[in-house]
Formats: sequence, structure tokens, C-alpha cells
Amino acid sequence: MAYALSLPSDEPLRLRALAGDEAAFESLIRPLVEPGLRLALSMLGNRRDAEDATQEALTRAWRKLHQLRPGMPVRPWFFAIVANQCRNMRRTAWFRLTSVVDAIHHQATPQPDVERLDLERGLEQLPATDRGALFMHFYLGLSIEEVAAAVGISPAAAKSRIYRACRRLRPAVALEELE
Amino acid sequence: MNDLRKEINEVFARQQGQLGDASQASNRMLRAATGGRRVNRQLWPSLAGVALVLVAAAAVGTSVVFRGLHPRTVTHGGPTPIPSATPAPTPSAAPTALAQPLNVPTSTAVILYHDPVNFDQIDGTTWDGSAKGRLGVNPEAGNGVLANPAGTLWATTRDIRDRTGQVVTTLASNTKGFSGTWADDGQHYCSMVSKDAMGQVGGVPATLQVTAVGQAPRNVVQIGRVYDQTSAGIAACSIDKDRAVAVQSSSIGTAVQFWVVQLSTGRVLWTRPSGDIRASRDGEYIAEISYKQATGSSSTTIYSPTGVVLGHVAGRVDAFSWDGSLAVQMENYGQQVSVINWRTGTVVWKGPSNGGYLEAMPEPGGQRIAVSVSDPQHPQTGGFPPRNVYIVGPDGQAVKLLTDVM
Repeated sequence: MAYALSLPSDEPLRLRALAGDEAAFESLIRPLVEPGLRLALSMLGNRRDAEDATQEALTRAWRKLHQLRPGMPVRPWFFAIVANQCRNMRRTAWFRLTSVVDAIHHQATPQPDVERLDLERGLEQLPATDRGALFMHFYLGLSIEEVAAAVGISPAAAKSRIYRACRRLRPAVALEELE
Repeated sequence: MNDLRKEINEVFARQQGQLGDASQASNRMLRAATGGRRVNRQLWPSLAGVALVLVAAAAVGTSVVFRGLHPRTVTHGGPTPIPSATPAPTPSAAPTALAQPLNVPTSTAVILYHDPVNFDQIDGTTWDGSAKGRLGVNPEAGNGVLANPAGTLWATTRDIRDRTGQVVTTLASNTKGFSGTWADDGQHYCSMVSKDAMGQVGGVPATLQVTAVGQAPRNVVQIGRVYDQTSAGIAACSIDKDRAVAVQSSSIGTAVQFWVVQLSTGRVLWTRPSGDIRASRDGEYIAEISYKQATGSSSTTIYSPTGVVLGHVAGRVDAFSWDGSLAVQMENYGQQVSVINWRTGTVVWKGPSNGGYLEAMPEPGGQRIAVSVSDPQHPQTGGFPPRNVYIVGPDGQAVKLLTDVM
């Protein structure tokens, strides 16, 4: 699936947003809201939580915009905020409660086949950050370097994390196969 | 691997199906950013005594956890005294996470930060740098939750925990939680709560709530309404001065309106439609930042405890000292930071010319301010920048307390 994920290096836009221009911030962040929402959904599992997390991430991004240094790509920076917000939400008792409800509801949904069900369960059982890394790399098409920046680890560690997650899903996967 | 990637993407795609046309949700969030401002101004004219509200996460008090990302050189030694902010060379050291626990009385104020080597470890240092160590708190607690001014208690959106991570108070349940802020006594937590506003035409009412540690939350007053994806928060909360500053914001965090509320009675002392604001810790002084699109510059107006204009400051004010006498000011975010006496316009301290401002926090009960700036020698490579932390005194004397922390 292709998204317009790559923001141009629009330094004037960043500077205007930094100075308090809301319209510039909107222009800067608009292409990232939908993929950010999708990332949050992949990590949290339900739409309501994903929307709350993305909204909070937008608020934090506005507040923390001055921490986006010149030359820093906006995409991994914003996804890092989304991912952190998701990790934070997962820790609350409220989240665990709603997740149980969602899980019960989810189990009533017909499943296609055993193999896919295994994979789906495997993905659900991964740590949210690992699942988010897989989602960013495989589904959103981020490079290893971008995933690393978003997760807050080195590219080597990001590659290793994705590889380990894949091994948990399919033990036969070899590191060399990871692009 | 290609087969696995395809299968994984198929599972993700099925999950993503519940979003439907996600662009609608995305547009709604962004529309709320600017549309919410217009709606609120139409619905809530600035009427004295009208009890409406919400606060902007944009105006929420400074988190005491400095955040950043990749470690480079780490200095865990004592503070480096410097008379002004002349950039000092950073000594080389092998990067190792702090191993020893922070050994200070629980009442001692500390500055908390992510360990430069291990992001999931929360470290603390006393304001004079005489003691440093890692905290026993659940490392996850440092990620996005707020510690009180002294760093002794932590608030998540649902509960309050002590330094060991143990829950000491549960906050409101069955509500939509917004980031709140700690009161100046460090024992009360102030927040805005509402029912979930998703899909509710006309929004839902919001309530300013104060929670004393170990006690049930107390509703102070119902003020304002929350719409889909708009934010609400507390810019300042003071048990000492019996007031809180509640702010309603657009979805991107800029303030739409703020209310100064008397905590004991719920009475609105004064209110004003507004852009971005910052408040002193006691809610007495409010800095309203205005951005002029034509010139691309900002200016700040400072209001008194009763809403009278006290003065104007060029650029942006981002924080106050604990007593409100000093302000952290810069022309724009990312530029050289200064600490000023805003009443006289005197520049007390100027930050490094090559280090962009990141965050500031006042010393609880003191006159010093901790100011963090980026380190040009170690550029940001991830989501959060490595930062140097200076402790600035009212006399302009500054100490570089931490180097390249996160």
C-alpha cells in the first residue's frame, strides 16, 4: 500500500510552524496524520484508542516542534511521538480493561484459516513496539533507518528487532532475508 | 521473507479495515485544530463569571523528565560551574548507564531524565548535582507521564504512583483523560476530565478536578465543553494561591481560551480567549504569546493575577521561575535562550549561542531555573535530541549540570 509519506525537506515551512504559524504546522504534519493513525491502530488494536493516541501525538508534536532540528526528517520524528503515546496508553489499567472487552468482541469475528489465525495471534502477542516496527517497515514502507529513528534505537538494533519479531512469527526466517 | 511480509501485511490490512476511510478521521482531527478555535469563540464569548473550560495540553506544565534519544558522550560527574553560557568542550567518556540507585530522602527535589545510555532507565539528580542515581520507578513510567515538581510522585492519565511505581491514588474512571499538572505543593494533581466526546454533537461538558494523593478526586467546577479530538488541560495549579489556570485548546495544542479558577469555590476569577499561553506555577502570572504572520515574529503579553496587562516581552516566554519573577525567553523556538527579569527587561543570563532552547523548569520553592538546550556537538539523530542542562540562578550564575542527557 502506497502512501504519500515522504515529506519534502521544507525548511521554510518548518521555520514558519516553529514561529507559531498553525497553517504551516498543518501543512507540515497533514500527510503524516493518516499513517500515524494507522500506526497507532497497529499498536493499540482499536480505533478509539488509536484516534486518542494520534490526537495526543498531534498535540505533543505541536508542543515539541522546536525539538525537530533542521534537517531532521519529520516522518520518523512524528511516528516516534505516536509510538511513545501508544506505549504510554498501553500501560493504563483503563487500556487493559478496554482491551479485554475488545478481545472478547474480537474473538466472535469469524477467522479465515488456521495459518492466518496463528499469524494474527502471533502479531497480537508481540510487544507493541515490535509490532509497530514491523508495521512501519512492512506496511508503511519505512526504511530501517527511519524505523530506528522512530523507535529510538540504532539501525542495527532496529533490523535486529524486526528480525526477531519475524522469527517469532516464522522461526525459519533468516536475517539475510530481511531487506 | 517476501511471503511472510505479504502475509503480515494482509493481517495488518484486515486490521486497518476497521478504520474505513481513515482520511476522514485524519481530516477531522486537523479540522478541529483550526475549526475548534472558531467554534469555541462563537459559542463561548469571553463573559466574566461564565464557568466554562478546558486546558490545553499545549499549556500543560513542563514535564520534569527531559527526553531525548541516542547517547553519545555521557558525563555523570559533578556540575561544571560557568559564569556564562560559553560552550564548553565535552569530555569523552565511555557511555555507561548509571548503576547506583538515587539515594536521597523522598522529599528532596530532583531533576529526572532518561539515562543517556539506557532510554528506559530514569535517572535523577539533585539540583546542586551532589547526588545522582537511577530511580526504582518502573522505567516505563518515565515515558510520557508527569512527575510532580520535586520528582517524588508520578501521574499517569489514570493513577498516581510513587517512586517505586506503586499506585497510591486512582484518578477518575470512565472518563476521557487529558494531561493534567501537579499543584505547587506536589501533593495534589489537577486535571480536566470529561466523558468521551467522540461522535457527540455539541460536545460534552468538562470538569476541573483536583485529586489529593491518597484521596478521591474532587470536582471543582464544570467549565466548557469537549468536542471530538479537542484537548483540555491545566496550565498551572496552586494550592498555595488557591487557583488553577484551565485552558481549552485546539487539537494541535494551541490555546483557544483560558480560565483562572478559584479552587476552593470553583469561581472563575477571570477568563480570556487566547493563543498560546504559559503560566507561572501559582497561576498568578500568565504569558500570552502572539504570532504575527506578516513579520514571522512573536511577542508576549504578561497578565497580572487579576487579568491586567503588566508588560510586553519581545519573542516568546516559555516558562517562569517558581516565584514568577524571572522568565525564560527566546526570539523563537530553537534560537538562543535567555533568562530575563520580565518586569525590568534585564537579561539575567544568555544561553549558548549555538545551542537551541529545548525546555525549562523552575526549582520547586527556589529561584533557580533548569534550562535545557541542544548540544551542537551531538546532533539529534532520532526522535529526541541529546541535551545539556544548565541551572541558572537569579544572579545570572549558571552551572552546566548535565551533558547529553535525554
